[in-house]
Amino acid sequence: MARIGLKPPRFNGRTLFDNEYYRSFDQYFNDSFSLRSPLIFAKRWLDYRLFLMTDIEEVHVGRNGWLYSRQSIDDYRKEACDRVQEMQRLVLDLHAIEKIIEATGRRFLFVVAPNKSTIYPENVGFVPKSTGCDRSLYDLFLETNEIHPVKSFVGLQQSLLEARTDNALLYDKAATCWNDLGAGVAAESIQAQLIQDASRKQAFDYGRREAGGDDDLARKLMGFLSGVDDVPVMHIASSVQSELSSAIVYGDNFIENLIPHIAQIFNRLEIIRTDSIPARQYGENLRAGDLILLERAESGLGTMRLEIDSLFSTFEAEASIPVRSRFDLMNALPGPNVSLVKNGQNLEVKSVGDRSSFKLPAIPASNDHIFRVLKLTAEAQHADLMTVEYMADPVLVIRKSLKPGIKTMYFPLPFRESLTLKIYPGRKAGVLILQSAEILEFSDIPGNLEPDSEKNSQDKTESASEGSRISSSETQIEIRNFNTLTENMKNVPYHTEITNVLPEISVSTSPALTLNDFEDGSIFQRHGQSADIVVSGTYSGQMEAIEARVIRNNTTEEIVPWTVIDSAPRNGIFVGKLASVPQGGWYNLQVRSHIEHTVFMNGRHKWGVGILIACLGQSNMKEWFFTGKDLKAHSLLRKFSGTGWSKITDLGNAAIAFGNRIIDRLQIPVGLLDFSVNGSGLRKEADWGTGYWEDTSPNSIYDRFISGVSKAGGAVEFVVWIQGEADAARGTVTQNEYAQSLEGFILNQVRSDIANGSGQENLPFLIVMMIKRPGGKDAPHQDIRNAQRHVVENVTDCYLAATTLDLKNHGRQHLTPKAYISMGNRVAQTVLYILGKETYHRGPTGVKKIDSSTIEIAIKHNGGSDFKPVAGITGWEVIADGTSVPIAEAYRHDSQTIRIRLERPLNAKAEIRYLYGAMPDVEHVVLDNSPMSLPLEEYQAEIN
Amino acid sequence: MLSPKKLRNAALLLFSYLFYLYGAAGFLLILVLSTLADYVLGRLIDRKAGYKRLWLSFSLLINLGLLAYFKYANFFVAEINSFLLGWEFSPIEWHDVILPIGISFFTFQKISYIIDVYRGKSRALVNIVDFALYIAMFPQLIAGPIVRFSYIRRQLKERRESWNDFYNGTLRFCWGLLKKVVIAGSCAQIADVIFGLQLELLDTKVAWLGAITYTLQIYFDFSAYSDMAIGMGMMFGFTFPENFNRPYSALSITDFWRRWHITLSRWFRDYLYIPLGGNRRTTFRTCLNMAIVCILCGIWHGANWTFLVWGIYHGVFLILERVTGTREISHEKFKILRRFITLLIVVIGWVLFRSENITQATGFLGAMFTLTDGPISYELSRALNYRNLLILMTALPVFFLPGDFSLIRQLIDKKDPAPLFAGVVMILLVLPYCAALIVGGVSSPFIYYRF
Repeated sequence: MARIGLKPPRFNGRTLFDNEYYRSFDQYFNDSFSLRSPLIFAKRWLDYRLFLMTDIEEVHVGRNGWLYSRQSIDDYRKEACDRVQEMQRLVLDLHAIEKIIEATGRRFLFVVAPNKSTIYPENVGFVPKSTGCDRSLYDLFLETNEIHPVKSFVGLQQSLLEARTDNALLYDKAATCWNDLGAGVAAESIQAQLIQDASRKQAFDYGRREAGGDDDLARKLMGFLSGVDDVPVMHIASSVQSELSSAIVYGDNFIENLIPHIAQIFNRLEIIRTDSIPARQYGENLRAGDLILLERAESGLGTMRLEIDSLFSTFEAEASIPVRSRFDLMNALPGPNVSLVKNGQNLEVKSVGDRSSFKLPAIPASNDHIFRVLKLTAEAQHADLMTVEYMADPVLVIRKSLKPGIKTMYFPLPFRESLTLKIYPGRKAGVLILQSAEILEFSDIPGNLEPDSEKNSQDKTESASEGSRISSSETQIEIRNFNTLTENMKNVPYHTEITNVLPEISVSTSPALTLNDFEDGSIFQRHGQSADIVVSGTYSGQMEAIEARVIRNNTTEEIVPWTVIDSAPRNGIFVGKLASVPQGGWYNLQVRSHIEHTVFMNGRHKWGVGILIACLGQSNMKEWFFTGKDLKAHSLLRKFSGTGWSKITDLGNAAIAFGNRIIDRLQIPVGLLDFSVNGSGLRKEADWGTGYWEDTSPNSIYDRFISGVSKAGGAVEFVVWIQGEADAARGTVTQNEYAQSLEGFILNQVRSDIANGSGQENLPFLIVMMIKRPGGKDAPHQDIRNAQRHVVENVTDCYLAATTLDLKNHGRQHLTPKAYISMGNRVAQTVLYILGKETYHRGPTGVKKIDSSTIEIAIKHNGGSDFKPVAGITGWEVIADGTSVPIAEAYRHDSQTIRIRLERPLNAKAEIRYLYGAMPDVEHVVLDNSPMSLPLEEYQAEIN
Repeated sequence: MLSPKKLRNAALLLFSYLFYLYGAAGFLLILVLSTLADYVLGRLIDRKAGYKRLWLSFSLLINLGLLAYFKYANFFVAEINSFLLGWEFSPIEWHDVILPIGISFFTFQKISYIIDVYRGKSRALVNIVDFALYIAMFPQLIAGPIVRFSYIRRQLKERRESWNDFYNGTLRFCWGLLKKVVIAGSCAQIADVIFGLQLELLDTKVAWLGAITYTLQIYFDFSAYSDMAIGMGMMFGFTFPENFNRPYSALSITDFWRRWHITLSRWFRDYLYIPLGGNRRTTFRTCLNMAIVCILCGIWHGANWTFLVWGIYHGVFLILERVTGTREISHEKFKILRRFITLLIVVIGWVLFRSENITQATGFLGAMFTLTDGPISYELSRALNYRNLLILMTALPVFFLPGDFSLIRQLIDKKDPAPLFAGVVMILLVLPYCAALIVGGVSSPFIYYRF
């Protein structure tokens, strides 16, 4: 890519003693040093050819120059013994997916593509191994699967090992994934699983494409991007009538060479590259396929996200589930700090936070013939994180995000006689209403998976549950009560614990109340103009009912009058909801006995109802809170950092500018949830050791964010995202990869796990474009910006939060303290715009050619009515034939148009970009005449 | 050589200040103002009028005050806050002070000037440009050698540049660059991985490998800087004092300190040890003086308990050698054994020096001296690649070569053209590789840069 507009940083009197100027100059010199690339290239070549080594972290150089991906080497080292539960959970989930999909008459296949190091271990060279474990994640998967096999699993390791010969490589020396030949072998195994009649099998044409050709690792080793961008979704229709009609294929990089082969088996294929199944960002219709094939690289087993709830919700209605057993929730056993109250068919669970738990006593689990899934329907009144522990050996822990409203959750039950579930309703005090619990039973369907509808139907009718065969009609489904099941469970160890008796506390002591006071300065996310606040605490003695009220902080002004929040406290705790506490603050809480008003307790801490905004990203977001002391924070501004709430005083220009501006306009508390992590990447390739956001494993940065938001209430009104530098820095992430990942991150992670506290249909996700580098080498950054723009344009309720290219840089990646104020104000402007409190400058609306060397750009004003400067406008680039066309002048033609005169006429098709290019000169950008002096937004268009 | 003789010091000073601006623009004023202060104070002391002692004290107060503030304030506040928090008091609000680069070195140069003038060993410089150049001369501004005023006074005025010196200086500079980027860089890759390991993952062999590679790294890193500084000095007609003389060939710790960071050792000897009484008083007082010098030498390197312990550690051996008389043993007696024991002591000392804290140091030393065998980490196996192993093998002879052997001296001084030609060709071949390592960002910064 041509370096357009690469210029040294400008020198002036103020930069003389500014360290950052010299760093910028250093960077500029480094980037514009013409021998840099050849030198680095030569060094890398020497390292590889002469010393069989590389400094590139993602690549491992093995024996005879063989290259392996770093991830596959991590697997090769076989040190995954502490991840047994993860694989047990995966196998359980696969069983559940297999059962629900097959119950709809479709088929499911799960394929694991072995790592190159698994098939060609002899070329890995010396890699130290742990002496204590000797199990890779894949080994653990195979071991777990061997006990109770997922019949849809296609193991390819054996067939690939048998097919490998010295003169016909299945994986190329410099590639991560299998080549065409390896993919062919894999396709044969997949076909063998699908079609058992040899005469109906497709004979693959191995000679159709030359084996090999991919050298992604060699390119990475030399410092190039991993390859051309992968298309995330592909639709393939076969011209030849194939054996099977259609399939939805979820895959990763291994899928590319597999596609030509499996395309011969199906009439239609929809191929989606994703880590999350289903991948909501692509809107696939799962019900449109006859088969769902899930392909995963061995090295990607640990990062796959199977959305069981989503898959079951999709298929349950049309699934033929032989037996549904209702479970009487009154069998639940209260644990510490919880009260269980039967309310009609519902079980009302009042909890005081993460110390509260209850148990669902022994329920029958799965065995070789029946696979069971517990279906739990719950209504949450606030966003929280529910944790379910399978009381088995080892204990499996499953967490589910709750949002206000009804949620149906599915829990695949492990292979054992019975199982007790311990449930932690949430981390915050609240009331959870369990509406129903059902056990879905899937009988094992013997036989093959051939596409024989008659046989299939017969199989289904022959399927039977343990102890009672179901009717021959597919539509007849047996529904029985858990009580009948319990008859079969007399030898179940936990059966005797089942009781309806809820323990009551002693009434002999004098009544007293203790309020679980909120943390000082905490802010509750509003819903509309108010919020429902959960009040909880403990009591002793006789207590008929508890009431609460809200007063203004340190006054007697009543905000919410005394209201009964818990009419029947039990088990020494009270929990209830104080509805419609108006937005504002600060407030104090008071509780008292409904009967004896003298039994009373005041909350000491102040709190409020307002807007919570999650601040995510890497260092430029961290700098929001730690750069600049030029402003004083509004008294209603608070910060939450995972451990608790804290006051912002004067440190953090961007955070203060941002928060103050919103508070000034709305006069309500604003809480900024700081979960930024310096150096964090979005994708795994960009993990510099501080974590990456796609990682959802326990204690990952994302997990800490989810846990933190849950602690702060679980719902936010906005998410602000300032990230991308790590993914751009090493040039290992392509534009499409970043765009796919960011879309997936928003749709499958953030919006799935965090409750939407806004009035929008979806949780608004605000992306601040990556800032401009002071020196060159902006191409990878530009790719990330383009990806961010793509996401803004393609994801609903996703916004460009601020243009930043014109803001002054403070070194390589960070802004000056003053520039952070502008950034904070601009993001606040976007927030206020979304809330309907501000107009917003939307930028250029069109471009046309006046003559061969003059271009006119129309701009639309929403905020201001005019703009400046009138002449010498910068930030524009005109590109023709891949090169920059020099601009003679760019000036204000009138308040609605800018004209650009070029130094030479445009003969070919050209493109115009504003604040969009690699290194535009942005000293005199277009700023409107509104009080905010907002810049014209980034723009890119073809000149016709 | 390009500027007129009258302006050559001014030109060098200008480039020295530009050099400092480039590295630490925000602190240039501190360098300039403190230089001005010492120039004035030096002149006042030199007037032979009264208050000499007062002006000296004033200068020492400014110089040592700046050094103490910039170098030790963060440490002391952190320690006080740790104490306060331990007793549940509110900590002191404090924003970390950034250390101006080279402050330890130019402060010591200024002190040497002021004391030399005070003692009457030298007259104060009249020309402020000459004085400012002495303080800020860019080849050795950041990490030495610490050039004593009396040593360089004459060169400031009367040096002569020559093409021969320029050639030799270039050779010496390239030699230093090669040592730093290739040898020290490779050793650093291994040492950094090992010192970054969790203590429980260290076994005996890995811990020793880490200690040895760091021993090599710090020598090749620091001596490389000195080579480059001396080489650049030669290009401009200066002769800077040597800073290293095969320290790992030392026969005792006393001998080691005569060979390691020679200019610092001599500074402490002349400006601290001897004024304290040196070895002219009782044995106890001599030992006390040595202990004071070693402790101060330790914390000169930085505000951390590890540097203090490292200083004490060396002090203990210096005192033991004096008390037991082992430093008096003839050079030829038990030479191999004494070299081995000295090297062992030095290597252990570097573990203290390199560790982040005392816990790491004790854990690391525990791993070195407790026989355990565990798997090595993947990161370490990557660092132990063919290139780094080859370079490590090339560097190892530094432990075994004779005490007076110098490869670069052999190249420069030897009149035989064959080895000289071979050496130059080798340097020219490796230089592009060095350049690639630098522009690729693979090379690590100088260790002594942060002191």
